[in-house]
Amino acid sequence: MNIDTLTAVLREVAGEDETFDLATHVDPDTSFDDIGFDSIALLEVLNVLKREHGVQLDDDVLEHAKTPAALLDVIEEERDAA
Amino acid sequence: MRPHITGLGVVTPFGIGVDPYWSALLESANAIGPITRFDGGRYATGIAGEHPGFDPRDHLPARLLPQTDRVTQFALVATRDALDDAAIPDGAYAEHASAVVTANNGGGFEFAQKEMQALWSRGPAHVSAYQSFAWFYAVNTGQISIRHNLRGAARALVTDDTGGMEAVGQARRQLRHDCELVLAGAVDTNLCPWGWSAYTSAGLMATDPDPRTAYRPFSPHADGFVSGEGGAIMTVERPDRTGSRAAYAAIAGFASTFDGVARDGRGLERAIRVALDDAEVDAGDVDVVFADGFGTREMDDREARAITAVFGSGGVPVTVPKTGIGRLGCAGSALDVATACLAIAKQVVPPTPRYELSEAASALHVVDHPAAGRVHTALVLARGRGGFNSAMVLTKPHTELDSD
Repeated sequence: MNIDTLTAVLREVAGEDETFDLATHVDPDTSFDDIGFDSIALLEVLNVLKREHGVQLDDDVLEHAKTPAALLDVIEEERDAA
Repeated sequence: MRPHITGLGVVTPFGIGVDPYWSALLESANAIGPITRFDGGRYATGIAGEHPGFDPRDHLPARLLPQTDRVTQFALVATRDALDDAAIPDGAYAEHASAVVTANNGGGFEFAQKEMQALWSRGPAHVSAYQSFAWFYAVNTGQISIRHNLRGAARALVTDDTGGMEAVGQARRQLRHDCELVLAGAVDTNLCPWGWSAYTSAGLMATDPDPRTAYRPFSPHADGFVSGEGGAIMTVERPDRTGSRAAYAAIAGFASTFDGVARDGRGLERAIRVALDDAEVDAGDVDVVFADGFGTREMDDREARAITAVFGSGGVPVTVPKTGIGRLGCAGSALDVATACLAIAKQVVPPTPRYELSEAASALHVVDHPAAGRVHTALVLARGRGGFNSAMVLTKPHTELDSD
Protein backbone atom coordinates (compact mmCIF):
# COMPACT_ATOMS: atom_id res chain seq x y z
CA MET A 1 0.00 0.00 0.00
CA ASN A 2 1.25 3.50 -0.77
CA ILE A 3 0.29 6.97 0.34
CA ASP A 4 -2.06 7.47 -2.61
CA THR A 5 -4.12 4.42 -1.69
CA LEU A 6 -4.23 5.45 1.95
CA THR A 7 -5.21 8.96 0.91
CA ALA A 8 -8.10 7.52 -1.06
CA VAL A 9 -9.24 5.66 2.05
CA LEU A 10 -8.95 8.82 4.14
CA ARG A 11 -10.94 10.70 1.54
CA GLU A 12 -13.69 8.09 1.57
CA VAL A 13 -13.98 8.24 5.35
CA ALA A 14 -13.82 12.04 5.47
CA GLY A 15 -16.50 12.54 2.85
CA GLU A 16 -14.23 14.71 0.66
CA ASP A 17 -13.57 17.33 3.27
CA GLU A 18 -12.83 20.84 2.12
CA THR A 19 -10.65 21.66 5.12
CA PHE A 20 -7.64 20.13 3.41
CA ASP A 21 -7.07 18.98 -0.12
CA LEU A 22 -7.19 15.22 0.06
CA ALA A 23 -7.83 15.00 -3.65
CA THR A 24 -4.27 15.88 -4.55
CA HIS A 25 -1.99 15.42 -1.63
CA VAL A 26 -1.78 14.69 2.04
CA ASP A 27 1.46 15.21 3.91
CA PRO A 28 2.30 11.74 5.30
CA ASP A 29 3.80 13.31 8.40
CA THR A 30 0.83 15.48 9.31
CA SER A 31 -0.86 14.19 12.44
CA PHE A 32 -4.31 12.69 12.01
CA ASP A 33 -5.42 15.17 14.64
CA ASP A 34 -4.37 18.10 12.46
CA ILE A 35 -6.36 16.83 9.48
CA GLY A 36 -9.42 16.35 11.65
CA PHE A 37 -9.48 12.58 12.09
CA ASP A 38 -10.75 11.80 15.57
CA SER A 39 -10.71 8.35 17.14
CA ILE A 40 -14.00 7.22 15.59
CA ALA A 41 -12.93 8.43 12.15
CA LEU A 42 -9.72 6.38 12.49
CA LEU A 43 -11.71 3.32 13.50
CA GLU A 44 -13.66 3.80 10.30
CA VAL A 45 -10.33 4.03 8.41
CA LEU A 46 -9.37 0.62 9.85
CA ASN A 47 -12.82 -0.63 8.85
CA VAL A 48 -12.31 0.44 5.24
CA LEU A 49 -8.73 -0.90 5.12
CA LYS A 50 -10.01 -4.29 6.21
CA ARG A 51 -13.10 -4.32 4.03
CA GLU A 52 -11.65 -2.99 0.80
CA HIS A 53 -7.94 -3.78 1.05
CA GLY A 54 -7.83 -6.90 3.20
CA VAL A 55 -5.59 -5.21 5.76
CA GLN A 56 -6.48 -6.48 9.21
CA LEU A 57 -5.25 -4.23 12.01
CA ASP A 58 -6.11 -4.18 15.70
CA ASP A 59 -7.66 -1.00 17.06
CA ASP A 60 -4.70 -0.49 19.39
CA VAL A 61 -2.35 0.37 16.50
CA LEU A 62 -3.99 3.79 16.68
CA GLU A 63 -2.25 4.42 19.99
CA HIS A 64 1.07 4.66 18.11
CA ALA A 65 0.24 5.36 14.48
CA LYS A 66 -0.47 9.07 14.73
CA THR A 67 0.27 10.05 11.12
CA PRO A 68 -0.46 8.56 7.69
CA ALA A 69 3.25 7.66 7.38
CA ALA A 70 3.19 5.82 10.69
CA LEU A 71 0.02 3.99 9.69
CA LEU A 72 1.62 2.95 6.40
CA ASP A 73 4.59 1.56 8.35
CA VAL A 74 2.23 -0.50 10.51
CA ILE A 75 0.46 -1.81 7.41
CA GLU A 76 3.83 -2.83 5.89
CA GLU A 77 4.88 -4.59 9.13
CA GLU A 78 1.59 -6.41 9.23
CA ARG A 79 2.00 -7.59 5.64
CA ASP A 80 5.59 -8.72 6.24
CA ALA A 81 4.53 -10.66 9.33
CA ALA A 82 1.69 -12.38 7.49
CA MET B 1 -34.55 34.11 37.70
CA ARG B 2 -36.43 34.15 34.43
CA PRO B 3 -34.10 33.08 31.64
CA HIS B 4 -34.31 34.84 28.33
CA ILE B 5 -34.72 33.15 24.97
CA THR B 6 -32.49 35.22 22.73
CA GLY B 7 -32.00 33.24 19.52
CA LEU B 8 -34.14 30.85 17.48
CA GLY B 9 -33.22 28.31 14.84
CA VAL B 10 -35.98 26.31 13.19
CA VAL B 11 -36.18 23.61 10.54
CA THR B 12 -39.74 22.85 9.52
CA PRO B 13 -41.76 21.40 6.66
CA PHE B 14 -42.03 25.04 5.50
CA GLY B 15 -38.25 25.30 5.09
CA ILE B 16 -35.24 26.46 7.05
CA GLY B 17 -35.48 29.55 9.19
CA VAL B 18 -37.94 31.55 11.19
CA ASP B 19 -39.16 33.81 8.36
CA PRO B 20 -40.63 31.21 5.96
CA TYR B 21 -42.10 29.41 8.96
CA TRP B 22 -43.83 32.46 10.41
CA SER B 23 -45.16 33.61 7.02
CA ALA B 24 -46.61 30.16 6.36
CA LEU B 25 -48.28 30.09 9.78
CA LEU B 26 -49.97 33.43 9.17
CA GLU B 27 -51.37 32.08 5.89
CA SER B 28 -52.54 28.83 7.54
CA ALA B 29 -50.46 27.07 4.89
CA ASN B 30 -50.40 23.27 4.80
CA ALA B 31 -47.13 21.42 4.22
CA ILE B 32 -48.55 17.95 4.76
CA GLY B 33 -48.45 15.69 1.73
CA PRO B 34 -47.74 12.18 0.49
CA ILE B 35 -44.38 10.88 1.74
CA THR B 36 -41.71 11.20 -0.94
CA ARG B 37 -38.65 9.86 0.89
CA PHE B 38 -39.88 6.25 0.71
CA ASP B 39 -43.00 4.33 -0.31
CA GLY B 40 -45.57 5.39 2.27
CA GLY B 41 -48.23 3.29 0.57
CA ARG B 42 -47.20 0.22 2.54
CA TYR B 43 -48.17 1.76 5.86
CA ALA B 44 -51.42 2.65 7.62
CA THR B 45 -50.53 6.33 7.12
CA GLY B 46 -48.75 7.51 3.98
CA ILE B 47 -48.72 11.28 4.49
CA ALA B 48 -46.40 13.46 6.53
CA GLY B 49 -45.00 16.93 7.00
CA GLU B 50 -41.70 16.49 5.17
CA HIS B 51 -38.97 19.09 5.13
CA PRO B 52 -38.52 19.67 1.40
CA GLY B 53 -35.33 19.56 -0.62
CA PHE B 54 -32.76 19.43 2.17
CA ASP B 55 -29.18 19.13 0.94
CA PRO B 56 -26.86 18.92 3.96
CA ARG B 57 -23.88 19.88 1.76
CA ASP B 58 -25.32 23.38 1.54
CA HIS B 59 -25.03 23.78 5.29
CA LEU B 60 -22.42 21.52 6.85
CA PRO B 61 -18.77 20.56 6.35
CA ALA B 62 -18.39 17.43 4.25
CA ARG B 63 -16.60 15.77 7.15
CA LEU B 64 -19.81 15.67 9.16
CA LEU B 65 -21.93 14.01 6.49
CA PRO B 66 -20.78 10.36 6.70
CA GLN B 67 -21.19 10.47 10.48
CA THR B 68 -24.60 12.12 10.84
CA ASP B 69 -28.21 11.16 10.38
CA ARG B 70 -30.66 13.62 8.85
CA VAL B 71 -31.93 14.39 12.36
CA THR B 72 -28.49 15.56 13.45
CA GLN B 73 -27.96 17.55 10.27
CA PHE B 74 -31.25 19.37 10.96
CA ALA B 75 -30.19 19.95 14.57
CA LEU B 76 -26.82 21.41 13.54
CA VAL B 77 -28.49 23.75 11.05
CA ALA B 78 -31.01 24.92 13.66
CA THR B 79 -28.25 25.43 16.21
CA ARG B 80 -26.16 27.49 13.80
CA ASP B 81 -29.17 29.69 13.06
CA ALA B 82 -30.02 30.10 16.76
CA LEU B 83 -26.47 31.19 17.57
CA ASP B 84 -26.39 33.57 14.60
CA ASP B 85 -29.75 34.99 15.68
CA ALA B 86 -28.63 35.53 19.28
CA ALA B 87 -25.43 37.25 18.11
CA ILE B 88 -23.62 36.38 21.31
CA PRO B 89 -20.25 38.18 21.30
CA ASP B 90 -17.21 35.92 20.95
CA GLY B 91 -15.87 34.89 24.30
CA ALA B 92 -18.94 36.06 26.21
CA TYR B 93 -19.24 32.69 27.91
CA ALA B 94 -16.69 30.25 29.23
CA GLU B 95 -16.96 26.94 27.41
CA HIS B 96 -17.81 25.08 30.62
CA ALA B 97 -20.59 27.57 31.44
CA SER B 98 -22.24 26.80 28.09
CA ALA B 99 -24.37 23.67 27.86
CA VAL B 100 -26.54 21.74 25.45
CA VAL B 101 -29.85 20.05 26.28
CA THR B 102 -31.85 18.36 23.55
CA ALA B 103 -34.60 15.79 23.40
CA ASN B 104 -35.10 13.01 20.89
CA ASN B 105 -37.74 10.37 20.31
CA GLY B 106 -35.78 7.95 18.21
CA GLY B 107 -32.29 9.18 17.44
CA GLY B 108 -30.90 8.63 13.97
CA PHE B 109 -33.54 6.22 12.69
CA GLU B 110 -32.46 6.32 9.07
CA PHE B 111 -28.74 5.98 9.82
CA ALA B 112 -29.51 2.97 12.00
CA GLN B 113 -31.68 1.41 9.32
CA LYS B 114 -28.94 1.82 6.71
CA GLU B 115 -26.33 0.19 8.94
CA MET B 116 -28.63 -2.68 9.84
CA GLN B 117 -29.26 -3.22 6.15
CA ALA B 118 -25.48 -3.25 5.60
CA LEU B 119 -25.03 -5.72 8.45
CA TRP B 120 -27.62 -8.20 7.21
CA SER B 121 -27.00 -7.89 3.50
CA ARG B 122 -23.21 -7.43 3.31
CA GLY B 123 -21.81 -8.40 6.69
CA PRO B 124 -20.32 -6.91 9.86
CA ALA B 125 -17.31 -5.37 8.09
CA HIS B 126 -19.70 -3.07 6.25
CA VAL B 127 -21.15 -1.45 9.38
CA SER B 128 -19.80 2.09 9.78
CA ALA B 129 -17.82 2.91 12.91
CA TYR B 130 -19.99 6.03 13.06
CA GLN B 131 -22.97 3.83 13.87
CA SER B 132 -21.55 3.80 17.42
CA PHE B 133 -23.12 7.19 18.04
CA ALA B 134 -25.04 8.33 14.96
CA TRP B 135 -28.18 6.31 15.81
CA PHE B 136 -28.27 7.30 19.45
CA TYR B 137 -30.83 9.68 20.91
CA ALA B 138 -28.08 11.68 22.67
CA VAL B 139 -26.31 12.28 19.35
CA ASN B 140 -27.72 15.75 18.66
CA THR B 141 -26.58 17.01 22.05
CA GLY B 142 -23.13 15.54 21.47
CA GLN B 143 -22.62 16.86 17.96
CA ILE B 144 -23.86 20.35 18.90
CA SER B 145 -21.56 20.38 21.91
CA ILE B 146 -18.54 19.33 19.84
CA ARG B 147 -19.19 21.65 16.91
CA HIS B 148 -19.74 24.77 19.02
CA ASN B 149 -17.43 23.96 21.92
CA LEU B 150 -20.23 24.06 24.49
CA ARG B 151 -18.74 21.98 27.29
CA GLY B 152 -21.08 22.51 30.23
CA ALA B 153 -23.18 19.61 31.53
CA ALA B 154 -24.81 18.13 28.43
CA ARG B 155 -28.09 16.29 28.57
CA ALA B 156 -30.46 14.35 26.36
CA LEU B 157 -34.06 13.89 27.43
CA VAL B 158 -36.54 11.26 26.31
CA THR B 159 -40.11 12.04 27.38
CA ASP B 160 -41.97 11.44 24.14
CA ASP B 161 -43.55 14.53 22.63
CA THR B 162 -43.03 16.76 25.67
CA GLY B 163 -39.26 16.36 25.22
CA GLY B 164 -38.58 19.59 23.36
CA MET B 165 -40.28 21.67 26.02
CA GLU B 166 -38.68 19.63 28.79
CA ALA B 167 -35.29 20.50 27.28
CA VAL B 168 -36.08 24.20 27.56
CA GLY B 169 -37.30 23.64 31.12
CA GLN B 170 -34.10 21.78 31.91
CA ALA B 171 -32.15 24.72 30.48
CA ARG B 172 -33.80 26.93 33.08
CA ARG B 173 -32.70 24.54 35.86
CA GLN B 174 -29.11 24.55 34.62
CA LEU B 175 -29.07 28.34 34.32
CA ARG B 176 -30.07 28.52 37.99
CA HIS B 177 -27.01 26.49 38.89
CA ASP B 178 -23.78 26.38 37.00
CA CYS B 179 -24.59 27.51 33.46
CA GLU B 180 -24.88 30.89 31.77
CA LEU B 181 -25.88 29.82 28.27
CA VAL B 182 -27.83 26.73 27.22
CA LEU B 183 -28.61 25.62 23.67
CA ALA B 184 -31.94 23.89 24.18
CA GLY B 185 -34.69 22.35 22.13
CA ALA B 186 -35.25 19.36 19.92
CA VAL B 187 -35.25 18.16 16.35
CA ASP B 188 -36.88 14.91 15.30
CA THR B 189 -37.56 12.94 12.16
CA ASN B 190 -39.02 9.50 11.79
CA LEU B 191 -39.25 9.61 8.00
CA CYS B 192 -37.63 6.36 6.95
CA PRO B 193 -39.22 2.90 6.79
CA TRP B 194 -37.74 1.86 10.15
CA GLY B 195 -38.92 4.99 11.97
CA TRP B 196 -42.25 4.94 10.22
CA SER B 197 -42.87 1.31 11.21
CA ALA B 198 -42.36 2.24 14.85
CA TYR B 199 -44.79 5.14 14.61
CA THR B 200 -47.56 3.64 12.53
CA SER B 201 -47.68 0.47 14.63
CA ALA B 202 -49.04 2.38 17.64
CA GLY B 203 -52.35 3.01 15.88
CA LEU B 204 -52.50 6.67 16.89
CA MET B 205 -51.91 8.19 13.46
CA ALA B 206 -54.54 9.53 11.12
CA THR B 207 -55.93 7.11 8.55
CA ASP B 208 -57.55 9.84 6.45
CA PRO B 209 -55.29 9.94 3.36
CA ASP B 210 -56.28 13.52 2.45
CA PRO B 211 -53.40 15.82 3.52
CA ARG B 212 -55.81 18.74 3.83
CA THR B 213 -58.06 17.12 6.42
CA ALA B 214 -56.09 14.27 8.05
CA TYR B 215 -54.72 16.21 11.03
CA ARG B 216 -57.41 18.33 12.61
CA PRO B 217 -56.99 18.62 16.37
CA PHE B 218 -60.27 19.24 18.25
CA SER B 219 -62.33 18.26 15.21
CA PRO B 220 -65.22 15.81 15.84
CA HIS B 221 -63.65 13.65 13.11
CA ALA B 222 -60.11 13.61 14.57
CA ASP B 223 -58.88 10.04 14.30
CA GLY B 224 -55.15 10.51 14.80
CA PHE B 225 -52.17 12.72 14.19
CA VAL B 226 -49.92 13.26 11.21
CA SER B 227 -46.19 13.16 11.77
CA GLY B 228 -43.83 15.88 10.62
CA GLU B 229 -40.08 16.44 10.79
CA GLY B 230 -37.85 19.27 11.99
CA GLY B 231 -37.83 21.24 15.19
CA ALA B 232 -36.30 24.16 17.00
CA ILE B 233 -33.12 24.92 18.91
CA MET B 234 -32.85 28.11 20.95
CA THR B 235 -30.32 30.02 22.96
CA VAL B 236 -31.42 30.41 26.58
CA GLU B 237 -29.41 32.79 28.72
CA ARG B 238 -29.31 34.28 32.18
CA PRO B 239 -31.09 37.63 31.85
CA ASP B 240 -28.24 39.43 33.60
CA ARG B 241 -25.82 38.27 30.91
CA THR B 242 -27.53 39.39 27.71
CA GLY B 243 -26.48 43.03 27.97
CA SER B 244 -28.23 45.19 25.40
CA ARG B 245 -29.13 42.25 23.14
CA ALA B 246 -32.84 41.72 22.55
CA ALA B 247 -34.75 38.69 23.80
CA TYR B 248 -37.87 37.10 22.35
CA ALA B 249 -39.34 36.04 25.66
CA ALA B 250 -38.64 35.19 29.26
CA ILE B 251 -39.34 31.75 30.69
CA ALA B 252 -41.62 32.71 33.55
CA GLY B 253 -43.06 29.36 34.57
CA PHE B 254 -42.72 25.68 33.87
CA ALA B 255 -44.26 22.48 35.21
CA SER B 256 -44.35 18.81 34.34
CA THR B 257 -46.81 16.21 35.57
CA PHE B 258 -47.35 12.55 34.85
CA ASP B 259 -50.70 10.83 34.63
CA GLY B 260 -49.30 7.41 35.46
CA VAL B 261 -51.44 4.33 35.78
CA ALA B 262 -54.38 6.16 37.34
CA ARG B 263 -54.93 7.95 34.04
CA ASP B 264 -57.51 10.33 35.42
CA GLY B 265 -56.53 12.69 32.65
CA ARG B 266 -56.16 15.54 35.13
CA GLY B 267 -52.40 15.78 34.85
CA LEU B 268 -52.51 18.43 32.15
CA GLU B 269 -54.75 20.66 34.25
CA ARG B 270 -52.35 20.25 37.18
CA ALA B 271 -49.40 21.13 34.95
CA ILE B 272 -51.16 24.31 33.78
CA ARG B 273 -51.98 25.40 37.33
CA VAL B 274 -48.48 24.72 38.65
CA ALA B 275 -46.86 26.52 35.70
CA LEU B 276 -49.12 29.57 36.23
CA ASP B 277 -48.27 29.57 39.96
CA ASP B 278 -44.60 29.24 39.14
CA ALA B 279 -44.88 32.23 36.81
CA GLU B 280 -46.93 34.16 39.40
CA VAL B 281 -49.57 34.97 36.83
CA ASP B 282 -53.35 34.49 37.05
CA ALA B 283 -55.28 32.65 34.37
CA GLY B 284 -56.75 36.00 33.37
CA ASP B 285 -53.28 37.31 32.54
CA VAL B 286 -52.72 34.70 29.82
CA ASP B 287 -53.13 36.15 26.33
CA VAL B 288 -52.93 32.93 24.35
CA VAL B 289 -52.66 29.16 24.81
CA PHE B 290 -50.67 27.09 22.34
CA ALA B 291 -52.49 23.78 22.65
CA ASP B 292 -50.86 20.38 22.30
CA GLY B 293 -53.48 19.23 19.76
CA PHE B 294 -52.80 15.52 19.91
CA GLY B 295 -55.32 14.74 17.18
CA THR B 296 -57.30 11.86 18.68
CA ARG B 297 -60.77 12.45 20.09
CA GLU B 298 -59.94 11.22 23.59
CA MET B 299 -56.75 13.25 23.92
CA ASP B 300 -58.30 16.35 22.35
CA ASP B 301 -61.33 16.18 24.64
CA ARG B 302 -59.07 15.87 27.66
CA GLU B 303 -57.07 18.88 26.62
CA ALA B 304 -60.19 20.94 25.91
CA ARG B 305 -61.53 20.07 29.38
CA ALA B 306 -58.23 20.99 31.03
CA ILE B 307 -58.10 24.38 29.31
CA THR B 308 -61.76 25.07 30.06
CA ALA B 309 -61.32 24.02 33.71
CA VAL B 310 -58.60 26.61 34.22
CA PHE B 311 -59.72 29.44 31.96
CA GLY B 312 -63.49 28.97 31.73
CA SER B 313 -65.53 28.54 28.57
CA GLY B 314 -64.06 30.67 25.80
CA GLY B 315 -61.88 32.30 28.44
CA VAL B 316 -58.64 32.46 26.49
CA PRO B 317 -57.60 32.45 22.83
CA VAL B 318 -56.32 29.00 21.86
CA THR B 319 -54.29 28.07 18.81
CA VAL B 320 -52.69 24.95 17.32
CA PRO B 321 -50.34 26.30 14.67
CA LYS B 322 -48.80 22.85 14.12
CA THR B 323 -51.95 21.84 12.25
CA GLY B 324 -50.27 22.62 8.94
CA ILE B 325 -47.11 20.58 9.57
CA GLY B 326 -48.12 17.72 11.85
CA ARG B 327 -46.60 16.66 15.13
CA LEU B 328 -42.82 16.84 14.99
CA GLY B 329 -42.23 14.08 17.54
CA CYS B 330 -40.60 15.51 20.64
CA ALA B 331 -39.52 18.54 18.62
CA GLY B 332 -43.07 19.85 18.15
CA SER B 333 -43.11 21.16 21.71
CA ALA B 334 -39.77 22.94 21.18
CA LEU B 335 -41.15 24.46 18.00
CA ASP B 336 -44.30 25.53 19.85
CA VAL B 337 -42.11 27.32 22.41
CA ALA B 338 -40.31 29.04 19.52
CA THR B 339 -43.65 29.94 17.93
CA ALA B 340 -44.84 31.46 21.21
CA CYS B 341 -41.60 33.48 21.31
CA LEU B 342 -42.37 34.81 17.84
CA ALA B 343 -45.97 35.59 18.82
CA ILE B 344 -44.72 37.63 21.79
CA ALA B 345 -42.06 39.38 19.72
CA LYS B 346 -44.48 40.22 16.92
CA GLN B 347 -47.60 40.68 19.09
CA VAL B 348 -49.60 38.41 16.78
CA VAL B 349 -51.26 35.07 17.51
CA PRO B 350 -50.71 32.67 14.59
CA PRO B 351 -53.96 30.97 13.61
CA THR B 352 -55.35 27.48 13.45
CA PRO B 353 -57.05 26.70 10.10
CA ARG B 354 -60.82 26.99 10.27
CA TYR B 355 -62.78 23.74 10.59
CA GLU B 356 -65.59 22.23 12.63
CA LEU B 357 -64.86 21.72 16.35
CA SER B 358 -65.98 18.84 18.54
CA GLU B 359 -68.52 19.35 21.32
CA ALA B 360 -65.87 19.48 24.05
CA ALA B 361 -63.77 21.87 21.98
CA SER B 362 -66.68 24.15 21.21
CA ALA B 363 -65.98 25.71 24.62
CA LEU B 364 -62.58 26.81 23.30
CA HIS B 365 -61.97 30.15 21.66
CA VAL B 366 -59.88 28.83 18.76
CA VAL B 367 -58.11 31.61 16.84
CA ASP B 368 -58.75 31.04 13.12
CA HIS B 369 -57.13 34.17 11.68
CA PRO B 370 -53.88 35.99 12.53
CA ALA B 371 -54.85 37.99 15.61
CA ALA B 372 -52.81 41.12 16.20
CA GLY B 373 -53.07 42.42 19.73
CA ARG B 374 -51.53 42.18 23.15
CA VAL B 375 -49.41 39.02 23.52
CA HIS B 376 -47.50 39.53 26.74
CA THR B 377 -48.09 36.13 28.31
CA ALA B 378 -48.33 32.84 26.44
CA LEU B 379 -48.97 29.37 27.81
CA VAL B 380 -47.61 26.45 25.79
CA LEU B 381 -48.89 22.92 26.39
CA ALA B 382 -47.32 19.60 25.48
CA ARG B 383 -48.17 15.96 26.02
CA GLY B 384 -46.48 12.68 25.29
CA ARG B 385 -47.75 9.15 24.96
CA GLY B 386 -47.78 7.34 28.27
CA GLY B 387 -48.94 10.21 30.44
CA PHE B 388 -46.41 13.04 30.04
CA ASN B 389 -47.76 16.58 30.47
CA SER B 390 -45.77 19.81 30.37
CA ALA B 391 -46.75 23.46 30.51
CA MET B 392 -44.58 26.54 30.04
CA VAL B 393 -45.40 30.19 30.58
CA LEU B 394 -43.50 32.67 28.43
CA THR B 395 -43.70 36.41 28.98
CA LYS B 396 -42.59 39.52 27.18
CA PRO B 397 -39.13 40.20 28.55
CA HIS B 398 -38.84 43.17 30.86
CA THR B 399 -36.19 45.68 30.08
CA GLU B 400 -35.14 45.83 33.70
CA LEU B 401 -33.06 42.95 35.02
CA ASP B 402 -34.64 40.27 37.18
CA SER B 403 -33.10 40.23 40.60
CA ASP B 404 -34.37 36.89 41.93
